[in-house]
Amino acid sequence: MGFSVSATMAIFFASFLILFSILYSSVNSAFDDMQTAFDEKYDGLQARSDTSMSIIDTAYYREDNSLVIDVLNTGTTSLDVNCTQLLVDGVLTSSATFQIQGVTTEIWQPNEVLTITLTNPDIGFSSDVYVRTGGSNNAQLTSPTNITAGEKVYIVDDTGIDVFSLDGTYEFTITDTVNTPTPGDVKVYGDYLYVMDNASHVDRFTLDGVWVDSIVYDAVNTPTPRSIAVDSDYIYVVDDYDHIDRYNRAAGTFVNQLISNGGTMTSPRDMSVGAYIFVIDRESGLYQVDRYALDGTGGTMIVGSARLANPTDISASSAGLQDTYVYIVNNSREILVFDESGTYQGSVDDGLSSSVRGVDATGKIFVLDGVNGLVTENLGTSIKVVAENGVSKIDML
Amino acid sequence: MGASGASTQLIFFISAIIVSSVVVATASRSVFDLSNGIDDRSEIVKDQLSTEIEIINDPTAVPNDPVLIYVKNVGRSSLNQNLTTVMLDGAVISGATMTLTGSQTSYWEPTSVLTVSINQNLASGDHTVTVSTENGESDQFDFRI
Repeated sequence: MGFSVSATMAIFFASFLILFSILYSSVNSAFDDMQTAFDEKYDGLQARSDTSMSIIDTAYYREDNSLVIDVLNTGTTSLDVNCTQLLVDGVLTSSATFQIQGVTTEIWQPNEVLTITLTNPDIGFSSDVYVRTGGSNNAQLTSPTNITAGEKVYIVDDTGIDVFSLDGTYEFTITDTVNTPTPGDVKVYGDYLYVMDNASHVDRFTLDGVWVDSIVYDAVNTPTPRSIAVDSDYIYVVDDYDHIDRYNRAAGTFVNQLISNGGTMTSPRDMSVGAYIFVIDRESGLYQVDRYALDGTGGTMIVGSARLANPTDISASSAGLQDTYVYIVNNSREILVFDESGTYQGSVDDGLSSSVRGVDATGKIFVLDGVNGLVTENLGTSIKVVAENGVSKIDML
Repeated sequence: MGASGASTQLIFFISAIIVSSVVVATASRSVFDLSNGIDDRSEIVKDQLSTEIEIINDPTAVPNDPVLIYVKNVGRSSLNQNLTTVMLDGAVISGATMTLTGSQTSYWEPTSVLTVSINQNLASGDHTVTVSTENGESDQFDFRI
């Protein structure tokens, strides 16, 4: 009897040891797995809390039809550039390029600026924008009359041209009383600033404000320039409120009288060139907006006088955009927006006085206001940048 | 006590061995089942802990007709996009098209984005979309059209 009990106890004891070690092994392994998983989870949460970004600059460039977004890594951890996403107007982009200080790299370190470039972006005007005005600056302006926007914003102000950054910060003033004593219209394109001076010629400046030459000075064909427009190939000039001449942009040589007086054209006041040539025309005291093909043909009215009240300035979207619009200063108090067929899209008057003088729309709508100065209005295109761990930042063009 | 006593002892001994063996065998099976269960459960929980997804749509501009939902794998596990469940306004979507972007493999790798295309034209108003992975991890996204 005693031996049987001992044998049974021995079997139980040995079995218990074996089974316990098996169970312990499983529990221990599970515990280790849990601990590792929790550690990784914690690392992920820590990385997210250490991640922060700031969109410090957005700009659209007509010349190469590109949207450029600068994003500063304001966090305390490095991020993977290749795992960063860009959404424009809610759509995930696949063709954007990502560089840091002009270099394609993988690691995006704290305090470094990631430059995202997207060609052929889908940006356009939205009539449904909760916050339209981005800001204004009237600190430098005294008697502003005209505006153009590229990498900077250039505003004709009395006898000079004030230069602002795209966020509205004043930078410097261009003045050349010898060559360009009476600047009128102004357009920026590529490496040059084109300034119509004294209703007699068109001067060319570097973007730093150094006078280069009088690129168009043609008393025979264009004795009284009133308004100019520039695209990749040509300089277009409204001459004497009568017709439109065209000059070679690089050489300044006369090409032809592109649109003659008569037919659709009566008394052109201002124009802008994008996918088409858009002209504010005046006939019998009434205004209308006409559209021409880039070769000057096919003139047709797209906005009638019923919609307009003393329109003074016009700006068209870049031809490269998928959706193009025409922006018109109307009645000195609002910006009317039409698509390129003349269909009304909406108006912008947020932050504007009754002394609006000029408009140019690139990545944003830059409005020259006689009271509020340079007013930046949002187009309404949303931009979202997403880091590798899902942390994101939203901005609006 | 002689021979019969020894036989009795032997019978008791053999019986004790058999009974204890049966008890140990039964207990072993339970312990093995328990051990396997712990292993399986820990694997599941580990998977769930290492899985995390995030819907990265811009809530102010969600593409409509078709509705496009962008889901980023922000965890550490590779997932099978074909086992992903999408619910729009409380209803399971069965015909959604799943497309992977980013690191292009047949699996939904960490940091890559899954584009879910739902062939619907949503009415104006508030909407909710929920995306769930194969192991039950999910993310919910509210937006307005």
